[in-house]
Amino acid sequence: MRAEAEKLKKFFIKNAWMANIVYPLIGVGVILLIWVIGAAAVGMEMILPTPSRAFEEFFKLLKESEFWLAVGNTLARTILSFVLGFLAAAVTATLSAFVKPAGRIIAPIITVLRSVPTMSIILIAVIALRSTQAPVLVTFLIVYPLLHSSFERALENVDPYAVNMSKVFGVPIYKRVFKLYIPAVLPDVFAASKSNVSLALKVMIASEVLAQTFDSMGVNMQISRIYLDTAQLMGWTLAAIIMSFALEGAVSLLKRFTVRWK
Amino acid sequence: MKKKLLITLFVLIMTAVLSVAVLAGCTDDDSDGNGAKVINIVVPDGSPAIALAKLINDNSAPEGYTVNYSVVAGATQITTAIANKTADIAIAPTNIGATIYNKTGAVKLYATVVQGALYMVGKEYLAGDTVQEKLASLKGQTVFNIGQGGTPDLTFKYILDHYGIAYQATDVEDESYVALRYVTDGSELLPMLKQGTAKYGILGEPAVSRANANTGTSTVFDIQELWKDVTGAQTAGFPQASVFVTTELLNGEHAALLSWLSAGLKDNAAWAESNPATVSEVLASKGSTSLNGLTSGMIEACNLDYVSAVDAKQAVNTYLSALYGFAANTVGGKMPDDAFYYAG
Repeated sequence: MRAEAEKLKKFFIKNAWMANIVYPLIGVGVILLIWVIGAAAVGMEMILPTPSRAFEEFFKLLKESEFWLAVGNTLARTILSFVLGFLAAAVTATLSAFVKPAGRIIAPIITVLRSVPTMSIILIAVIALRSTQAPVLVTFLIVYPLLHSSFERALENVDPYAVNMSKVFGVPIYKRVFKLYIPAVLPDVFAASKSNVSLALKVMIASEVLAQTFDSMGVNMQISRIYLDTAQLMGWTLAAIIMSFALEGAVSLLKRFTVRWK
Repeated sequence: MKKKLLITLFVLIMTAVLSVAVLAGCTDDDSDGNGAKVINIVVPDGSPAIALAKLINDNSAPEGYTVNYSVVAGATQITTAIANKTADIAIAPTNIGATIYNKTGAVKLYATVVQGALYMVGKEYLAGDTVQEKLASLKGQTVFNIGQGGTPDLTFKYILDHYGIAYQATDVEDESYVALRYVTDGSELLPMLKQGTAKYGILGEPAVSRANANTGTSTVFDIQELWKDVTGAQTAGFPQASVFVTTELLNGEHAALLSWLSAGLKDNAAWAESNPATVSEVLASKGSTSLNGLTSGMIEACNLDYVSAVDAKQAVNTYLSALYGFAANTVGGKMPDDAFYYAG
């Protein structure tokens, strides 16, 4: 058993490319296979087009300026709402962790924000705001409480032993912040950011549909749906998936840079 | 190692099989317990639903058939229902029906039933004497419309194009163009008109009458009239919504069903206009949420005229080619051929 495990370990170390490329590819292959079988079973492009048709439409979209306009707008709005949510969460989580009364005040606000149905935020925002603003507010309100909770938990989990020691030895505040707290919370902050940034994109697209935001991915998907152009809708969906990967990748890159800085 | 691989493979294959089973699982059952053929008629909420009011109220069905009705939220649900064969007869926007025909050949146009129920309402009257001047006075203003890419949007843009008036989908108003903004349905626009955040909006009856009664707007344009001026159409308005029947029912074996359908649809307009309260009631019982408190005037403004496919062909052609010229994908990529029209 042990020997076998050793062998397996060696195999993976020697064949890192296998673990990093081949297995994920098998995963993608499984999705494509289910898709192909599903499309064949349904047998109607209007309901479920084949992957090849979706990719064809996707590459067709790449050549259109409207596509890039919509992608640019949606991406910019997603990043804006995410950064706003990130900053707000950083501030309120720090307050909650270090100023107990503030924490008590903030806690119920977060709970309320987290339990308000996404749909009702969208419906209210759509009436009150412009079609370009409403999706930003909605995405912010979805992402912010999630980030706040993750950040707060990360701060609470900072090694109390190290914290006490730094107090006892009178380590100056700025040093405590930059050498103890920030390095300690960074992994959790990046993990939370990574999962929330792709959630932000999904929420953004959904609220663009409901807010009927012009020149956006959401409305373009909606229009493809109205015209029963499901293959094109899938093309837009592929674009959204790729954007999601890119956003998560950007967070990972940032992580690499900051870890080096640390 | 081998075992693990086998288990993984097994799980993956099971997942694939299950998902296919779920996707393909919807089998359709065509007859009820008594051997009568079940016919499902689906209609979107709003003016098209009123076209079915008499049939629903009569609650009769020809010998050998059981007829079910359902009122659904929007045109996209109609499409799905036709595509997965849970609807045998449906009322849908005419261009959507043409799209389904072009993509699958599963349906034919049987008759047109709503000859346009679109109106533009405004908090203020428009300056100018001619249509051209009035439309031009909208520059620098925002016109709200229901559903980007839908019939109201397309027809209005077509009209603006004809008069050479620039427009743009934007939040920013500018003297050089008409700004277009969108909401998902009429019920969203009414509070905005009431608050004054929206000044002009294009709505379909019966939302138009509601807006005029409750939000202080008045009708500034009859889109049907504008359409007639622009296209030189001989008929009243344009064939906004039509009845589509799946080709299986048109093979000659269901003549009794079809003549029952035609009769019910033909008599509907006159009956509905004199029984508005009953119309509201029966449609609500089938799932409509937007048609309570109808009046004769509201129903009349919906332009519910039955025109058989043969007689409507020219008007439908004019309408669809206008949309086609605008953007080919609005009618499914190409103009439908003659077989689209049920020859009876």
